[in-house]
Amino acid sequence: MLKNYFKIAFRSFKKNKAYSAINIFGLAIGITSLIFILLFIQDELSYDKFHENKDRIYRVTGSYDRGEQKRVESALTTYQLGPQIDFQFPQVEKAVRISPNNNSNFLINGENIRQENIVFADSGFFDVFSFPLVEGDKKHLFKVANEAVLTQSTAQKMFGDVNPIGSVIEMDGIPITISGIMKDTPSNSHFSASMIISSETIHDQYPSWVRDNWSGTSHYTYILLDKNISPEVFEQELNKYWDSTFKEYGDLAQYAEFSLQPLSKIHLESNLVNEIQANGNLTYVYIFGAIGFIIVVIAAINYMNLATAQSLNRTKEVGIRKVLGAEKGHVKKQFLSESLLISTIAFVVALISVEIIIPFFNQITGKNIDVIFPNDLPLIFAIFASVLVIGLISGGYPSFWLSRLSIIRTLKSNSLGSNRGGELLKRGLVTLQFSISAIVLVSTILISKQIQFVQNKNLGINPEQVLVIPFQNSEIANRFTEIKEELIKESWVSSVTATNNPLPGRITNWRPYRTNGSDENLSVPTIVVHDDFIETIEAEISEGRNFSKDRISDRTNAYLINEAAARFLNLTNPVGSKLVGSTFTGNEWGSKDAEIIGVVKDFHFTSLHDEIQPVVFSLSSEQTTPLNNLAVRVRSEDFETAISGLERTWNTFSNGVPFEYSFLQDDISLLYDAEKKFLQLFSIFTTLAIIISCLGILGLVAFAVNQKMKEICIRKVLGADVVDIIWSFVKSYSQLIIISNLLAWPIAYVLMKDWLEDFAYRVPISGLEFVIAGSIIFLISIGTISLVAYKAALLNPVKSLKSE
Amino acid sequence: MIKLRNIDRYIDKRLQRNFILKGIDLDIAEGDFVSIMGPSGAGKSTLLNIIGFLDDANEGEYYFLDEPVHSLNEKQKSEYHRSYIGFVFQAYHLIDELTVYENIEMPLLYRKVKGSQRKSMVADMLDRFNIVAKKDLFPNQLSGGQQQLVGVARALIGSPKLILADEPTGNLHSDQSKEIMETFKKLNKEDGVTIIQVTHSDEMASYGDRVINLQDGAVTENNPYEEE
Repeated sequence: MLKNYFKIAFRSFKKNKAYSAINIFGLAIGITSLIFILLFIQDELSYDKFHENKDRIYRVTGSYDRGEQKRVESALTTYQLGPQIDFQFPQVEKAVRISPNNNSNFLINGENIRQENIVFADSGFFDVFSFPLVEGDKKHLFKVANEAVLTQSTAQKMFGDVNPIGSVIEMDGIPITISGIMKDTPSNSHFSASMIISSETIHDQYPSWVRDNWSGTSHYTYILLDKNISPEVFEQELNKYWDSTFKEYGDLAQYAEFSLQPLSKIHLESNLVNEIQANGNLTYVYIFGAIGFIIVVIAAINYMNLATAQSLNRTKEVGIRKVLGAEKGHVKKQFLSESLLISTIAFVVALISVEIIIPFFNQITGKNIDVIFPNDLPLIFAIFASVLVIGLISGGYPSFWLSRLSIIRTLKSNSLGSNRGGELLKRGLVTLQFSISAIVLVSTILISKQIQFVQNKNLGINPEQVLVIPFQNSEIANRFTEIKEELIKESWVSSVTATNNPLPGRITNWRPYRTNGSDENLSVPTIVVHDDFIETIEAEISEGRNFSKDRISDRTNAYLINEAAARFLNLTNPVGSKLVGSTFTGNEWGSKDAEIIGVVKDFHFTSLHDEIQPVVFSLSSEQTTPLNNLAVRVRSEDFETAISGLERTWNTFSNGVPFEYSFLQDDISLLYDAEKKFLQLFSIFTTLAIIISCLGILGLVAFAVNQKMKEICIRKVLGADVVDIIWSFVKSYSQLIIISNLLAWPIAYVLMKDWLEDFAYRVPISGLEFVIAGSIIFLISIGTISLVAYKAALLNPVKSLKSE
Repeated sequence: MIKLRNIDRYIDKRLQRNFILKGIDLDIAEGDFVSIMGPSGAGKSTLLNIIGFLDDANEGEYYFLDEPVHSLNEKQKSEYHRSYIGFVFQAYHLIDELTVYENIEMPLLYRKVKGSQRKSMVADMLDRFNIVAKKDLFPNQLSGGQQQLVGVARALIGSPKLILADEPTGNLHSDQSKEIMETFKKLNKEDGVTIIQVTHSDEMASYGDRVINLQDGAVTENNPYEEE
């Protein structure tokens, strides 16, 4: 019997190729999107779950006092914390400090190789984390200083096919023995590494504020907590201990307050200052989940509509079957199994598309998801099960309807079994579908507007034509003045400066400042700059004057602050005020009591997610934090000349350290990488949702036109022209589209308002987006409808009347 | 076999009740070959549909093989369709997507006949109607007469006790009509199958042995040929 059902199903697919194709493809697109979204979510949720001890690993984060009751929540803690925890708290099995994201040059077999993404880690690293070792014994690793574990790809890069175990490489003159090889860090880890070097190795290199100062923040601290200890309890104990230890010294460290973050929550839920790398966003995971659901709903509605419409073609068959003794149950079973068959085909099509599309998907998301079959059998089974449920639900209505038809009605050839209730349901579903499309489209327009706004917003500086070159080591940094002198001679250079803070980036270097007459120190982040800083980034001085090269006193006796700092420090007339500040070379503190000579108009240093922070600008001197980055503004768009010129100059000073640069503009847009990826994915899925909706309307209209072919022809014979005929179809659908837009707009408004709240600076919702989205949907669907109706209206009436 | 008592079938329109059938009393015995005749709109088809359980009477009682049809449920009616009643339609009503073979086979599927047995039964039927060569063709590849032969073959394959035919020859030319009617006659005489047909044609009615005339929903003449 089932064979008979499938046979007839296949033959009626073949007979109605177009509908079947629309049906299957609509559903397949929906399922494909669903699979990708599930893969995305699965990957996001899988971060750091591969560690054996994941449930017991916590990151210790700190909340630090910056004066005026402002606190900074940072992922960093002091270098001292790890060993202190190890020493004082037996309930912690192991505490490990890591310092990720380091770059260095290595001398390997006489060759200078630059390596990025180096992690310095304590000896317990491989006990706490479960990065699998390919070679080496974790029991003995890092017990002594000057050891390194390479990832497989780094080993390949440094040594080729030679086994590197036991080899010695040199990092800035420090010999390091390769004692292990690990697998490459997986992409679903909240930090990555190209090689791990034991912390001991560089202990002596750290400046004293890292090594000896209990209030500095420089390292990430992870602990492996005993099974029986709750993190809340330990958190309290740690803070109690910390308070009691440092209060008596009056040390700055007493203001630190620590919290424990479960390892598995870092990627999606942590958004602190100084995260190791850009984390995911739980909201986006929810949004994609919702979109996946929406697309599936749209596809299912489509499928149901088309199946219902098409079932009109099958009424005669149902009648005959019933005459021959089929019961309601038989008919239901037949059409349900047909529906299941279609969903299964769609599922297979979707699986194949996923396999094909996955590389592009990885490119867009920056993920590294393997071709899923057969790696993800449980996921595939789960999806297949939900596909079958979709098939049952959406095939349920038509089969229910068909099974209830009276035999007489179905066999009378002139009554096609019109179905008023079904018509109403169909129109309702189409309205719902269009409402969803409208919501999704409005959201897409607003999201892309916001992202463009963010990228084009007047940052307060001009990032175009600015190249940023990291000094990479102190020797090169020390020769900055010479480099600058060389560069300034070139005709394509407009100005040259240097800063300690990366451009752009979170501003660190919080220093205590005190204004005239106040005895309270306020912490303000400080940027140490060289001459021509304001000129190079083209910031604006809103009050007072810029630093001047001609005034030697500016070096030691002048500050610039931004407007936010003027507000933060409560200065109504900042220019001319005295500011008691301090300097720090990394080893030695000094004081810098200077006058505020000008106010810089607020500009964005970090992403527009954050409000502009107060900043003090201080000219570089012997006492200040060393400079780290060279910034060069070039005159023309001829970047090739500029880059090769820069490299030439670099090479004369660098002593073999390779040249590295980036465009400030690119670095800034990197800040919105997450949003951009999100937008890209979001627009793809939006487009799909709209395509599926349109496929649906195409199918429905084509079907309606077919049903009304006789009417169309009679009208034509009676003198109706093409426009009349098209209009009769457009009219009935345009009402639906308008209604669905009106329903969609308020919902879209609420949703988008909520999303925009996340940005400190955002585009206004003007209302225009709604009109645009509405018009797009209207045009596309009316276009589709007109096209189908037009084709029908052009047919020779004789042909179709004859066939009746 | 069939006992109709005071059967009414009507449609209610706003203020009045339109009777299609009114007060029909009818007895048909097993082995009868009955033709229902009458002008268009007399209620012939409706009567046939009621006899075949495709339509329900509004009033009255109907006994089929002494079973009260008016109190049968849907499932039991399907059971009768499978086992006792075969239909032949003017418009043939074959399933377009199935071949001749598959169309004939279909009732057996609903009767859950085993595969091997099905095969031999269908082969028998194809043989009997001389359409073996056509078994893999689709209905639209056949002439009307051939289609109707398939329709008859399909009605017969379940070995029904009763065949209901609604103007079976209405769309056929005379040679084809004769062939169909001869088949019916043979079935009636040799196998004892009860046949009730609706027809306009006296010639076709003459194959049967009893005529029922309907006029405006009532039986006006029952058995005019009885004297013969």
